[in-house]
Order: sequence, then structure tokens, then C-alpha cells
Amino acid sequence: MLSKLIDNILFNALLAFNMNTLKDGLVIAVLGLGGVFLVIILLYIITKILGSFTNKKE
Amino acid sequence: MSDLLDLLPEVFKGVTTFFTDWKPIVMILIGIVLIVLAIKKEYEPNLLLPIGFGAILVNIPFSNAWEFQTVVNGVETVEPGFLQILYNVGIKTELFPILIFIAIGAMIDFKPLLKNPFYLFFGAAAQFGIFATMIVAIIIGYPLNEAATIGILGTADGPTSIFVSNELAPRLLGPITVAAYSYMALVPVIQPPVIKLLTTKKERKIRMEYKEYNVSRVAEISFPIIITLIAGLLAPSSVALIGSLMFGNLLRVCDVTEKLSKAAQNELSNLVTLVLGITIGGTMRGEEFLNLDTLAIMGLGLLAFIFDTAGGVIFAKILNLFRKEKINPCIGAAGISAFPMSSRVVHKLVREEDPDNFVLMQSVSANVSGQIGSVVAGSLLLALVPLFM
Repeated sequence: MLSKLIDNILFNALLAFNMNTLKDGLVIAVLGLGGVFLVIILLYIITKILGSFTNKKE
Repeated sequence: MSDLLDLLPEVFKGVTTFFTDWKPIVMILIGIVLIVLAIKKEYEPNLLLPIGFGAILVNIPFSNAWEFQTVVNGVETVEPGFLQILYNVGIKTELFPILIFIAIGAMIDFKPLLKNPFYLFFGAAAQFGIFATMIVAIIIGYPLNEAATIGILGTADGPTSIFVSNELAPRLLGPITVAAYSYMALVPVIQPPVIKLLTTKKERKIRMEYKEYNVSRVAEISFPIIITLIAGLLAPSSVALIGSLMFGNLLRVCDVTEKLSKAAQNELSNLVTLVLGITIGGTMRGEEFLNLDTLAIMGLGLLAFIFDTAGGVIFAKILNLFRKEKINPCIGAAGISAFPMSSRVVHKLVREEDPDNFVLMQSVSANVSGQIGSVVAGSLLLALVPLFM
């Protein structure tokens, strides 16, 4: 039963798989993860600047 | 008498129909399991209980909770039931996730992050699971929008998952929501084995000095405003999500809107969670929910959490190659959005190896940054995916 189900999923996957979609997905993954890091780097800089004006080490 | 007998099947059509289709029965059983998990195991009870009950309501044959038939001037029409009305008002319009974000913002204390901004990076690294899972979903054969929606489970963030799913692939909303909240409840089960697999005993014992800085009121108040501006300018599609999160936080830190902050943390949060849960349960109708998609989404959701954890831990290990002061790589796993569960899990795991090693503050900082990272990642997907379709 389970092996039939897995076979079914794999067969459907083979039918539906599209190389162009994979390429698009990889581009989105690189841009997306890169974008998250870019935003976080900017936030890090801003947070550091905010801290450097007024924070004192305890 | 014979008229009465003819009427009986019509009167009891719910009972007679119930046993003719297995799907509603299975869904009602799933609803009961969710309720049991909520009550007995206390797994996200505020969500799983309403979701479970909503699933029961809509799977009773001829239930009027989702929709019902009515005859107007001899013409049969289908009218929305109370759950469909809630769905149209709160989920289709994305109002409920936004209101939840205001409540979450009012609950989060960003001070640990402001004291140690370095931990922001873990909130970015642990989003790896989103994109890795998206690629796996594409390989399995999902179209781009649905693959991205499945990947979003890697945010470990319920409202973001609902928001993105509703925009990119509304048909997957039910299973996505159930997977998101189920796996969030299972963080203590999923994360430790992955962390242990990727770290040595010696690495898990690494002690970290915690440098604490005072955070000025100006910095605390500026933080939500500046984050909204920067994230909004870089990714305009993030304004609704990050803006509502930061608005809630501004209510909390400004000290002059205490009543609003408390209302957001309690009344707003409780009320929206209640209607959100039961409405999501309403989307779990057997004929739409019980299919291969749901099974695949549950599997891929688990994969997303594993990839997230691995992404954070491996990122910390890479940083250690260049740093003099080593980081305990377990901290990287706390960069997911499941707050505060993930930070507690990491702290507990580290203390199992060395009971005198305290990494709670570092984990909380990484965990809070995961909230920001997940919203940014979700917003970027919303901006990027339509460009490729």
C-alpha cells in the first residue's frame, strides 16, 4: 500500500517535473536568501548605529 | 403512515449519508485527534483545539457551518455559513494574520536583540529551509507558486504561512496551516536530533560570554520604526506583515499606550486566535483535504523544519572557522521563528551536555531575529514568485 503510494507520488513527480521551473526556483532561492541576508545586514548596521549613540557597556 | 415513512430518510439524511463516504469520517477523527493533542499534550492548544473543532463542524453531512442550501422564490441557492463568512472576511482579505501580527509585535521584547545585534544573522541563516524545501517541492512536480507556498512552512511562522499561502496558492491554505502549527508544536521533537547529528559533544559544550549593553529608550522606540522603513523600502510587499508586527511592538515600547498594548497582547490576540483557528478548521473539508497534496505537504513541512535547523547550525559552524571567540553552533538552530519554543529547546539541549552552560539569552536573541527573518523571507517570496510566473 505504502510502496504503491510512493510509486504514485514519484510517477506524478516525473510527469509534472519541469526543468525551467527548477531554474526559476533556483534563481528565486538565491535572490530570496540573498535578499534576507541583505535586509538583515542593513538592520544590523542600523541597530549597531542606534546602539553606539546611547548604549553603555554594563 | 406511509408518508411518514417516506419522510424518515429525508429527516435522518445526515445519519444515512454519514456512512456512505469515508472522507468526512476520517476528517472528524483528525479533528478529534487535534483536540486530544491540544488538551492532553498541550500542543498549541489555543490553535489546535479550535482547528480540530472546526474540522468536525464542516465534515458533518449537510452541516450548515460552511455553506447551506436555501430556497428563495422556488430557486435553490447556496448561502455561506458562519465559517465561510469568517473565512471571506478574515482570511481571504488577510485581515486575521495581520491582526495576529499586531498582537505578536506587542508581545515580543526586542531588547535582547538590540543588546546583541550580531544574532540577527541567525534569523537569516535559519530561513534556508524555506528555499531548500521550495526546490524539493519543484522537483516533486509542484508549480512554482505552490512550491513557494510549501517552502514557506520553513518560516516556522503560522501567520506568515497563512498570508503567503493565501496570496500564492489559496487551495493549499488548509493543509499548510495545519502543517505549520503542528510542526511548531513539535519543535522540541524535531530540532534536538538534527542539532545532535550536526554537532559534536565538544561543540555543544562551547561556552559563550554574554556581553550585555543597556538599551536606551530612543533606540527601543526607533527600532520598530526604522525596521518598517528599511524592510518596506527594500521589499514593499513586506509592509503589511512587518509593519503590523512593528506597530504592535511600538505600542509596547512607547510607554504611553499601555492600554492598547495590553489589549493587543490579550483581547486582540485571544479573539483573533479563536476565530482564526475555527475558520482554518472550516477549510478542512474531507473532499478537499484528503488527497496526496496534504500528505506531501506534511512531509515537506517536516523537511522544511529540518533544513531550517541544519541551516542555522551549519551557518554557526562556518562562522566558527573565522572567529576567535567560538559560537555554540546549537544557537544557530534557534534562528527559526517558533518563539520562544526554539530558544528553550536549544538552551535545554546545551545544558544536557554541560549543566553550567547558560545560553538562554543568546538563543532568545537568535529566536527573536528569526521572527524578523521569517517575515522578510515571506515578503521576498511574495515579491519574487509573481515575477517568474
